[in-house]
Amino acid sequence: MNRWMTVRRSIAAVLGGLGLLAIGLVAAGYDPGAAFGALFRGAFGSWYAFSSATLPRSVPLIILGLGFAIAYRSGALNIGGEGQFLVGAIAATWLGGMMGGVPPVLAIPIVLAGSVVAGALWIAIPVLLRLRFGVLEVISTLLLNFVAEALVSLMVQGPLQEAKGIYPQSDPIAVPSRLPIVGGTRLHLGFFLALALIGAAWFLFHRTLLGFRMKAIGLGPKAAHLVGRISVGSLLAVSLLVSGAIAGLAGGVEVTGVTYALFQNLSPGYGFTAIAVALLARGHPLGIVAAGVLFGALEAGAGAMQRDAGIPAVAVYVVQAVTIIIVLLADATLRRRPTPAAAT
Amino acid sequence: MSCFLLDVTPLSSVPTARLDLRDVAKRFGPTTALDGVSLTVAPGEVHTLLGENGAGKSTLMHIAFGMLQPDRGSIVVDGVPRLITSPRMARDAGLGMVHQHFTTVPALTVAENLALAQGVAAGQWKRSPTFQDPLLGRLSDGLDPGAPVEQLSVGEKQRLEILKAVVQGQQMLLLDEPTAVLTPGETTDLLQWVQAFAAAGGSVVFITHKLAEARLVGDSVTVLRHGTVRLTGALGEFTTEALAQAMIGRASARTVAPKRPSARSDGDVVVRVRNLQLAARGQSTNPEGSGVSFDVRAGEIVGLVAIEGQGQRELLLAIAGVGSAAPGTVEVVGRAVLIPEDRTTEGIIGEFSLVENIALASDAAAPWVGRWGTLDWEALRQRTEMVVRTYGVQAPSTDMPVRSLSGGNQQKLVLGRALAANPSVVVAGNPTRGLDFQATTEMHQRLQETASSGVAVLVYSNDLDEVLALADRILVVSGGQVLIPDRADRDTIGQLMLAAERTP
Amino acid sequence: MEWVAVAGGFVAAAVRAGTPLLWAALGETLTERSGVINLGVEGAMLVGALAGTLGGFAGGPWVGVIAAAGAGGVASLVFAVLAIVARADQIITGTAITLGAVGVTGIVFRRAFGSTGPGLDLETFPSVSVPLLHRIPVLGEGLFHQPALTYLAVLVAGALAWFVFRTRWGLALRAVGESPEAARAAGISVRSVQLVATVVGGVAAGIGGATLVLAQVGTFAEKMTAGRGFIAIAIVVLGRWHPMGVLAAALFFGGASALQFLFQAMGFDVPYQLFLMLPYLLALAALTGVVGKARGPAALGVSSDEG
Ligand SMILES: Nc1ncnc2c1ncn2[C@@H]1O[C@H](COP(=O)(O)OP(=O)(O)OP(=O)(O)O)[C@@H](O)[C@H]1O
Ligand SMILES: [Mg+2]
Repeated sequence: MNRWMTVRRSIAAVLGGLGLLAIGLVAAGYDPGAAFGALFRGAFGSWYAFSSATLPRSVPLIILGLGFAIAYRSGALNIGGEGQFLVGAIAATWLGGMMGGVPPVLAIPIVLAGSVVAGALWIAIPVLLRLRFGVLEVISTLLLNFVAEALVSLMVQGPLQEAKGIYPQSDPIAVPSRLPIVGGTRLHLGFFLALALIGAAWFLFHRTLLGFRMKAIGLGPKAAHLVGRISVGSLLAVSLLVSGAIAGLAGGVEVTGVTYALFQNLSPGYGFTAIAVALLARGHPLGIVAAGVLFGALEAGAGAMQRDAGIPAVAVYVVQAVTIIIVLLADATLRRRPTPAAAT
Repeated sequence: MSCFLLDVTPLSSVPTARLDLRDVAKRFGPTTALDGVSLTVAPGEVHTLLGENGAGKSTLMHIAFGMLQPDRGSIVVDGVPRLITSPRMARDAGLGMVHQHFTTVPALTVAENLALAQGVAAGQWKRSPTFQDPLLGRLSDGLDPGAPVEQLSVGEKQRLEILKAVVQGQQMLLLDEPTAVLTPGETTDLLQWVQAFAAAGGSVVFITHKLAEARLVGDSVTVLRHGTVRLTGALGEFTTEALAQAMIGRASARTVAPKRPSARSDGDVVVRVRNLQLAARGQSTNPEGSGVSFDVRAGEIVGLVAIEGQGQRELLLAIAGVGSAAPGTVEVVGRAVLIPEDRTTEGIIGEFSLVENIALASDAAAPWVGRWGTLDWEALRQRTEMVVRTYGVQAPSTDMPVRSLSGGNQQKLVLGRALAANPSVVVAGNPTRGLDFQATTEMHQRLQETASSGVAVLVYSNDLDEVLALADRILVVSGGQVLIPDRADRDTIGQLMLAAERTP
Repeated sequence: MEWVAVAGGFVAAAVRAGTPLLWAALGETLTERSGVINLGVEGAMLVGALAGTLGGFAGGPWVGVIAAAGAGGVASLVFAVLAIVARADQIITGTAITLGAVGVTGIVFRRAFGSTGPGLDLETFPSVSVPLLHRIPVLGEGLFHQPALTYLAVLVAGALAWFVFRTRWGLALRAVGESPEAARAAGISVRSVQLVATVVGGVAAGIGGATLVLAQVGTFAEKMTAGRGFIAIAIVVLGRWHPMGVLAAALFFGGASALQFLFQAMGFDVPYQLFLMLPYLLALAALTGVVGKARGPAALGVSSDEG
């Protein structure tokens, strides 16, 4: 498949999503001009909007999108990025609170490592269930999202609640565990960390035997086992664990780079939006950056849209849903090309 | 006066064909599957339909059975032109079809599958599962209406397929390679049934790749090639040579490869199997029972035959060194490579390019794998081009998905990939499954050359004739045991294959 | 005497909480029997809940139910067109439908009720007592003093079981889900069967959403289904794709949701979040125990090639 064609189709998908939103807004009696104006101003209207609203919001999307893509490459669907993100955030909040007096070069890696471990442990349950009992990871990761949400709620009203004990939120994490930010903006180190991860993933996917084998077990598990002599179950487990670990990291980065604290609704559904990001990019690491920034802009603009045009922020879900659908449709149409050697 | 005479000629004196396909054409995108094919079958006639892979045999049958719509041409059944646009209409018109692949639903019962074919609820079948008609009775003999189809043997499944096709009294039966999956004994039973069906007035179109079988059962023959009729008439009129020539489009027709003149039996032992415990279907390994023991020497071709699920798969995988180890020991000197039984799902990954499929057989020690687990794609590309050239894989590019190659070329790639690894042992399962005449011949030659160059070759095949033609000696796997036939002929081996079924 | 009231209240709450799940799970049973897995059932429930609210305000509870059925059907029709006709990946399409449903209901809800919400003055279904039976001690009040939609759901479960296992259409449905190839060879239009099964399944999910509003909560809130559609999918597995098994499994999950009520009534002080987690954890445990022993339709989730 021609790469440029793929890019064009992805752009068309996003435009289609926006177009359908416009139609929906008109149908619901809103002024689409005002809505899109606000959307655009909120995302790209100024350097500050771009660097402090759009880019920070793209960070969790890029990292989570990469997490999804890694499992997807091996033929597994980790729909539990949201939950892994949340437990990563819990771990980071807990550890971050204890980092007073520790130098940042130690504090930050410790806190982020904690979120990585938390994400991996959280997905270890579905991995175990899949390998031991054959439970599809799609359902188990999905169900654990709701458990993680309840866990956050439990934490911010229980062990991690602020010392004052008034609001359901944690105290801010210690200063040394907060990620450095680019002067004059809210853009934090996490963005560059995300880019580094993307680079590593690109190398893994395209230049290593391991990355190739992941793709092989995704597309042809039997052949991978018999011809490639790959232990399919183990490699699948590794892919899923890495996927969960990365999603956990996204939660840690969000807490240490943006919110500095844990509270309910920490994620506006980043875990699900990231699926759209990864699909739009078709799992390609560089594409994930582009799609992540784009959807980060949508998230950023959505806030402005709600403020200025009175349109609920959840409306961007429509854009995301339609984008996913158009990408799926385009790929499905391509798949239907006749296969000459299919003699029956 | 003469005009009148002509007019009063009774129509009935012109024998009405049971099925008359006229000038049928069908294209799939750029491929012309059928280009003006006509085929006539009389009542009581068994008409064999021959042709290489992709000749259009199945497509013609699908059109007659309403599963595909022709671009041109007409269907006449019992003298009445018909527009058949669905299998249900075909069934109502008196046609029944047995497809190239099983079309029973494994999880449903025998009764439910029969009801499904008829479009009725299953209740009636559960109440009265027996048949008055002795022909149907022969088919249903021993089939438990309440048993899920997945528990039936291959032969029983095939009988159910035929039963489904004729259960409403259909007199025109289309059989698409019905014997491909059967053992010799089951095949004989099936051919006898077909003859009885025809003797009772039924008509049959019988598709097969085996000329001997066609001769045994057929009255007449049509050969298709590239979607056109190359030959048609009574079977007795044509020599086997003429039929084969019409099928492959040129002379040089040997139905099986010649035996290698100098099979060696003095090579070094390269495979030593000792007390290997194999689990046959429906049995568990008995720990204290004796396992399987035998040797394979360099330079010989050992054939393995078995009916479904006798433990042969475990044996092949154990020798090739993949899969969970069965208890017992397998020693291999050098490297063993596997050609898996099911090419399309086990041998290749269809979405992968040729290069990626070559890369699939990499281990950490492969020359294109770097010290840190990196892949050298340029080296892989060269390797692929070498395989493609050496083994005559016809592919426009090494970057195209392997799915779009023909089965024969896919299998050449699989074989080439295996041999390029310099193995001392080649374990091949069904090396020619689904391949046509020419591709089969080439594959056989390659395997023989390989053995002659000093490699030990183990060939397992569903097709006993293939093993008989290729192997220097034959082992029968039955009930998790390996039996050595005292004579290498069809009957002796056929008996041994069923040994475990007979003595449970 | 006290425990009788508590137990009775628990049973009633379990049935009440289980009813929306039952509707959605019965619909999904039908859908999955045809070989299609619809993760958009969560979205269908959500649009059903909103349509039920709007319809309920406009013309009373029954109008709400009809509107919800229609909305759920439409949401699943969108899914069906993408996943069955265009053969897009079913899991991802389902996720997208649910995502889209959250967005669409958000917009419509704000438009209809502003940001304050509709309030609680929605007319809901009254509970109807079954003569005599509701006098059975402990269980009677819980099982036989319920809104009409509950009884209807049980009837639908029975009807679905009969349909799936006793009729030729049911046989065709199962054949499609088990082996599309074989069904096609038998002259069944695989796509039509899957389309109808999916849309009807969505109708049931929509009614499930309406039940949530019109027989339970009494109002709509954004994302109010909170994963019940996904639990319904677990219920289908736990019920082994059999309507009667699904009936039992839905009651079980209703019971899990009602435990909070029970514990509070018995005076235990347990964080409520643990009860929020419980149904999901139980669903996981249930899947673990069941998978491997029971087997779903063989072609579940596999996009079928032609016809
Ligand atoms: N559904 C389809 N779409 C596209 N091409 C098709 C389709 N069905 C068959 N063909 C093509 O039509 C030609 C005839 O195929 P057909 O299946 O009739 O061959 P056949 O004689 O039955 O071969 P075989 O011996 O392998 O069964 C082949 O080139 C095949 O690739
Ligand atoms: Mg064929």
